[in-house]
Amino acid sequence: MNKTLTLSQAVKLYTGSSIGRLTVKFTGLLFAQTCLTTLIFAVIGWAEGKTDRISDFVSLIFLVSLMLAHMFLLGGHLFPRSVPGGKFFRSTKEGFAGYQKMRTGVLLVSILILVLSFGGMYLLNMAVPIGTNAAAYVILLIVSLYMISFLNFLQMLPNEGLANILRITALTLTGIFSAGLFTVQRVEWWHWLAGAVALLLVPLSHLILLRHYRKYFWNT
Amino acid sequence: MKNVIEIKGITKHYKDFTLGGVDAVIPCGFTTALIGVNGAGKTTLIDILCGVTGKSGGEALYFGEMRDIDDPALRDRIGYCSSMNFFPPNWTLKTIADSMELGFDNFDRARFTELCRRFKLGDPADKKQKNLAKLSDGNRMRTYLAAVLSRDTELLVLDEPASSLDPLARDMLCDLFREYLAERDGERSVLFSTHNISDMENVTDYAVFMSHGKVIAQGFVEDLKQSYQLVHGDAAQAAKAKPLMMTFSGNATSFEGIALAAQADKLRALDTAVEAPTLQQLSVGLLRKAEQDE
Repeated sequence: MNKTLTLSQAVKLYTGSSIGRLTVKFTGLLFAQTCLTTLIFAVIGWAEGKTDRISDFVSLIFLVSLMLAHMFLLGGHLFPRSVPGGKFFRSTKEGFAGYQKMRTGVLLVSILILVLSFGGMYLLNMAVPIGTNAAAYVILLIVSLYMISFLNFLQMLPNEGLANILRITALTLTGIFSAGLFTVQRVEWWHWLAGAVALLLVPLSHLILLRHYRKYFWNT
Repeated sequence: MKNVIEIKGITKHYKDFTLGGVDAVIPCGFTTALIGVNGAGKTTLIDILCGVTGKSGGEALYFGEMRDIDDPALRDRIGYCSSMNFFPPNWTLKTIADSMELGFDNFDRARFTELCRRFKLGDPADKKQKNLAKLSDGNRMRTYLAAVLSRDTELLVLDEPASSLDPLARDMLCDLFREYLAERDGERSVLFSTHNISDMENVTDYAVFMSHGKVIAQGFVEDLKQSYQLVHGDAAQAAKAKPLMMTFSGNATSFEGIALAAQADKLRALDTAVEAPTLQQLSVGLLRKAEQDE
């Protein structure tokens, strides 16, 4: 009997971990690191009586780590035929359909990490006042969704060197603007509009990436 | 006679290489060797047949009825593995078993464990395991073979399986081929590629010779051995024998080469020794002729 792969099984076939395990692993690492950073800066801030600067440092570390996690998750999984495992994955029963499921599963992990890590940050903010508010989380979530689409599009660049330069640039810009983003007080109408576009762009960039990959990588 | 694969005009264009209009058959129930020098197009053809890469043109008919290599039912009937980096290097026996179980419906974990033990690779259930990167080339190939042989398939396709194996392991590979075919006599087939047939000669029933992206000869080994003859003699007869031969190599004292069986009587009349070639000698002769013609 032919059983078709679920998204989680496809992710496990390619990465050795299920969707749940990958999500827990990445979110756990991210959250543990953010808690540690918050604790360190909170202690320093309280000691010096400068608690208003805590959010700047914490948000910088949190956002950069989040982007690194996404880069790690979405930046890999190309598996050209020449790399180890490339031929095995192509020969499995579902072939490209299995690959598609794996990429979709990994995208799901990325989104789950976003939601869980921002939720975690919100809870952390309640426990340790680090000077952020709910509006900031909404906006950062929108920015992160754009980042996911951006990383998807970067994977289509034939020049790997240029793609890496753009990844580093994006990471640097995230670091520079993270403090400002974290202190936004109110969600404006255009933020919601940008959010709606971001929500459309994520699946669109995913589908374009898969189509491009099949044509230029999988079958060549 | 049934064919497990019928290849009709398969082509593949790369920037610097073209696999050109390959027509060949892989007979059902036998071991077929795809023989050619490095760069002849063997791997490309195998990759196309197993759905690992796309083709530019042509088609293949599998098991007399199936054409779409993306069909999971067809993929489940074919056991494929390459010799280089088939699995990611950080994988262990356990990771391989887990992934094979998900990737194929007919993977048998118990059989994999049994084959790993037989190949002295360890137990996939062990907690402490070496990853593939830490294994020797030979043990890595044994691991690939254990994985592919743990599936209940009807056609085994192996790309250069013997290249990294020592003589004893090659002998074991021949035994594995025999076992695989004998388990379901007449229903299972093996296709493997090689550039050095000498150690695999005893197990080869059918041969397809490739050069420069084309099939230059194919047939049952016994028929091929009757179609061609190995000729050798003293240097004194070389000048007269050479025009009757397909390939020729000689020195100051003797000469040797391959000729068509139709020339055998004329060559014997020249007081040369004419005998059936081994598959290895035939391979060298046919491939050398193809190089000269190119």
